[in-house]
Amino acid sequence: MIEIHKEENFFVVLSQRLDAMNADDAKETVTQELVDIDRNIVIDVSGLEYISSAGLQVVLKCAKLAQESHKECFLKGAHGTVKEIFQVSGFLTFLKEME
Amino acid sequence: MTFRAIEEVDRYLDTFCTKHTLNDDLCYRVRLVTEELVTNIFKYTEAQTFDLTVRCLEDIEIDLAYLSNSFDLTVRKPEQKDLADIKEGGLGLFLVESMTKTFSYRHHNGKSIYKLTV
Repeated sequence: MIEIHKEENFFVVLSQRLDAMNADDAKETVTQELVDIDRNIVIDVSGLEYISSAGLQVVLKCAKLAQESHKECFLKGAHGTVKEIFQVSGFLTFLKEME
Repeated sequence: MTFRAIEEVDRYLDTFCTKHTLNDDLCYRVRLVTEELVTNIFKYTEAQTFDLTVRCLEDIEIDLAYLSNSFDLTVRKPEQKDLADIKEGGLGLFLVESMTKTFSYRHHNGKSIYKLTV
């Protein structure tokens, strides 16, 4: 599941499962909502229980959209095996972790 | 077809994990590597069906076979240097290799056969 909140940053809240079954819809949502943004993106995965490579594509899209707008993309709340997925995939080399 | 296959795999693995009381981390790994391979089979091959066997021994052993030519899905992802260089797709097999203890492929009697241990 995905929710996007516009506050001091854009908060992209990912929860439950993000996999091949729902990643295309989530990617479409971020593509529509995060174009020409004027603030940074924080991807909150504290409620995310499972992410696969399809789900990582959604995160990658967020990072690319931030980069295109010369903004930064942060990752918040990664834990357990979900965090390991971000580590082994190399995503923590371009996503800054936020407490 | 892909979504239905993944749903069926999920149900099968849920039952398997419960039956063998696997912890959450191990169950995640088994689910992830299986889902990634099944997704790639339907995305990149002509196969319409596959055979999946999962065994709980010293490790979790996963066998996945499907009718095919000798196309091997186990191509490594190029090293990522920069965000702009990361192409969409291609991460799945990298995750499979990263999250398994062993990962092998062979082609025999018109079937592609993957053997993984987690």
